[in-house]
Amino acid sequence: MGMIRVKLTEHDARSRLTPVRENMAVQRRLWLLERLGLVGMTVLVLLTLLGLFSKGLLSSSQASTGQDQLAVSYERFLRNGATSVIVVDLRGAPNADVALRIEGELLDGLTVESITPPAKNAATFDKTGMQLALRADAGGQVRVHLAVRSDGVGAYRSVVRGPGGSVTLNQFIYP
Amino acid sequence: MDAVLRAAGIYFALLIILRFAGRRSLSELTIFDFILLLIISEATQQALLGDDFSFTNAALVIVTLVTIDVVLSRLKYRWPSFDVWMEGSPTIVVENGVPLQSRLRAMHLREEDILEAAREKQGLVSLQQIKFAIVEKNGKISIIPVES
Repeated sequence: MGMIRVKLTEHDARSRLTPVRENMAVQRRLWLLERLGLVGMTVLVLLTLLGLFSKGLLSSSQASTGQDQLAVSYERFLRNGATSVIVVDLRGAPNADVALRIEGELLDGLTVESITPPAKNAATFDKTGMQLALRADAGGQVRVHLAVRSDGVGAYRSVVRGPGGSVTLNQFIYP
Repeated sequence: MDAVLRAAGIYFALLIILRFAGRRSLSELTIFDFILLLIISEATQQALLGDDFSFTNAALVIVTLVTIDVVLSRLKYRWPSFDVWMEGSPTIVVENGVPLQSRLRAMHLREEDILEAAREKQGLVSLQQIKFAIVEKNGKISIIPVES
């Protein structure tokens, strides 16, 4: 903490009146603020590297049901106006349609820009949600990428449902 | 509404960040500082305008920025104590040829920096020729020579 303390000798700490009127009491506080600010900015850079503001250890996460029937990779932290991808893995019957349902606030805070591969059928689910019919491969596996743009600001909680269960996504969108 | 919020947000964020960076950081512009300024303006541009490139939005952002700036300068004029907190105090670093070492350390300045300013501004070569060296509020170093 030595670099944070602003040490002045008694002689130097006294405010002079000529040739300029000094205010060393305030100036010392400002120097202290400068140093605290530098520490704060360093911490902010480190937290950003860790992913506090999207993309990183703290942000990129995966939610799945117990038997791996449904797994969702998503960013916990998003920024308004930025795009990201939500990847949903589902398990269903081979070569059959699997229903993916997204309910809750996800669609309030995010705009889905594209769904890859395209859903065979899309419908409204439970008033505000979305239901997609997706074709499974020969192994019964479905993977869909949702490209989303964050429009809202604040915390959003939403639920993704597959045939074998549901997972809850908690996301926060920065301004 | 968001034009005003964006402009005000960016203004105060930059104000705080540049305060943290210290007085001398951007007042004595080196080539690197110049590049830094260019990059900062490039980075803030998107956040200022968002995805709205209309004439109205640009005008609203500019009006907001100028208004905040003028209001702040009026406040500084009205209340000198607010001015000191916003801008800092002018600080004497050489008094009658004697450097005030602990102040220099606090500002991360060396005697050489003072001598550089003395050469540049007054053609002086030693501390003994300096009556006062003052780091002004804008970060520039003023040199007052000893009267001969």
